[in-house]
Order: sequence, then C-alpha cells, then structure tokens
Amino acid sequence: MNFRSIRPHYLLKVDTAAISCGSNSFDVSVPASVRRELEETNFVVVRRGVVTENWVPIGIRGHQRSQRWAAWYPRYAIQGIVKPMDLLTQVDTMNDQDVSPARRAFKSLKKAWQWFTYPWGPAGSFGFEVATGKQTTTPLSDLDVVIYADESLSRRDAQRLLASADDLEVRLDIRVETPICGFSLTEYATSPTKTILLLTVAGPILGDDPWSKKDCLK
Amino acid sequence: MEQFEFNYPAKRKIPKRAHVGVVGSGDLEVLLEPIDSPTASVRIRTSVDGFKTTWKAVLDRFFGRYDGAVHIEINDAGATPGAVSLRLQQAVEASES
Repeated sequence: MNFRSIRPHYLLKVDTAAISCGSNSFDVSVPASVRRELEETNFVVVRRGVVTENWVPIGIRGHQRSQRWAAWYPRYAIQGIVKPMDLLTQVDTMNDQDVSPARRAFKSLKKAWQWFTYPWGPAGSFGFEVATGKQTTTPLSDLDVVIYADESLSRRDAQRLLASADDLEVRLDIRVETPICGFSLTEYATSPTKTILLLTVAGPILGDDPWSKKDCLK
Repeated sequence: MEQFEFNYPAKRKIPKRAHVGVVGSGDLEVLLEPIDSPTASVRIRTSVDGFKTTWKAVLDRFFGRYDGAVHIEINDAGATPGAVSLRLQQAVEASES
C-alpha cells in the first residue's frame, strides 16, 4: 500500500503492544483506564501529521471529548484500516433499535447528500461508534463527518452541502481534507474573510486556497 | 467547560465588529466588538479544562501588539494555541477591512 493512502480520520485496528509514545512507554503515557478501553476496541484514529514509510501518527481517545493522546503506530503492525467511506455503507446495516440522535441525523444527511460524489463518511465519536459497535456518542454529541476532496470543491458547492443539511437534530461538524490540509466546510462556505484556517502537517495557517501547495506549504 | 475573563489597556477605536471561525472539534470562534472605553476585555468559554495559564500567555502576547478598544468573545472547542492566535489575527483583519 502506498503510504500516502493513509489519511487523517481513518481508523486503524491495532495491537496495543506496538503503540509508541516516543520517549515514554505507552504504559507510562496513557492512564490505565484508557488503556483498558482501547484494549476492548483496538481502534485508534489517524491524526494529522507526517505519515512516513514506517510510522503513522495516531490519536487515542480518552473518556472525555477533550482527552486525546498522541502516539505513533508502526505500519507493519496495522491489523485493519477502516475509512469513513466504509462506514457510510455500514450505517445502513446497523441494528435500528435504540437509534441515537447522531444516527438519525446521519441518515437524514446521507439522504440529503445523495447527489454528492466526493468520498465522505462519519468521523469523530459517531464514526468510532459505527466502526466499533461501542456506544460512543451522547445525545449532546456533534455529528462529525469528513469529506476527502482531492479535487477542489467550489464555495458554491460547499454552500449547497450546508444548505441541504441545515435541519438536522444535532450540530454538524464537517471537515474537508485535501491532499495538503484540512479545514471546516462551514467556514469555507460562509467566511466573511477571504482567508480561512487551514490545518497542515506543519501546524495551522491562514490561507485562501486549500488546494494550493503554495498556500499550504510555505 | 471552563470560563474566564482577561482585561488589557487599549488606545485605538476599531471601525467595525467581526465574527470569524467555527465551534467544531479543535476549532474556535472569535467575536470582536468595538467599545467606547479605552480598554479591552476577553471572555473565553472553553470545552477543555485546565489551560488558563496557556490562554493568558496567548492573549498577553496578542495584546502586546494589539491596542484596539474591543470586547472579544471566544468559544473554544479544543483549538491549539497556534490556531487561537491565527483566529485572533483573522478577527482583527476582518474588523479593519
């Protein structure tokens, strides 16, 4: 597999023993309760960072939304890759009893975006829930989705995507990933300023073209 | 969820209000409002507890260069200090353009 094909928000099925936290060991860096939960699901999320031939930057979920542990995972030990696009179809096969607000909202969104041809799917806590089958969202959770826009997406299309998703019962957080950075679809579609916040592997920057290497990699 | 407020001296009147950013994971919104008195105040609501010192450092640095008479509201969902600084810069640009 091409090493550039692992992108932020993908989920990796891992062997926790292979996780690296840099100079400290995984056992020292991450609290025992979080380690136990991770050992139940064995899923981590790919975070923004430089993916090398041997290592993938990952994030480990904590109990609270704000808790994340940054770590690295060796490519040879990856046991499975779940993309948000895979989860898009998996939602349909999920048991519909005990439907959560996030899942109801996601189903409406999927219907509303039928015309949309870019690869996209659930991310964040809802994505994690679909991938692992473990209840992760709460009634107050945002619905996180990610769009992989290798080709540039016009502001007009971004506005259309937002408009068709404006009556969901939970707050929607749409991230767009280009080959060089990530940004918020809402900001791109509605910002009064020409520049928006672009998250690059080298940190956040202000720029007006998320598909321009000149903008993102200076 | 934590909330705090910081105050700074100010000299300059600002032409208009500005609203930049979004409240989404790892992001924040900044609302900047011109005020008449020669002061600046910032109110922060953040979903991530325990970073008051970091917020103060970021804002001290910002107001070391910025002298606008403004009230700023920040709603944060776990942005990095780098992103916070850029959002403040963006709000200033929008309020003066």
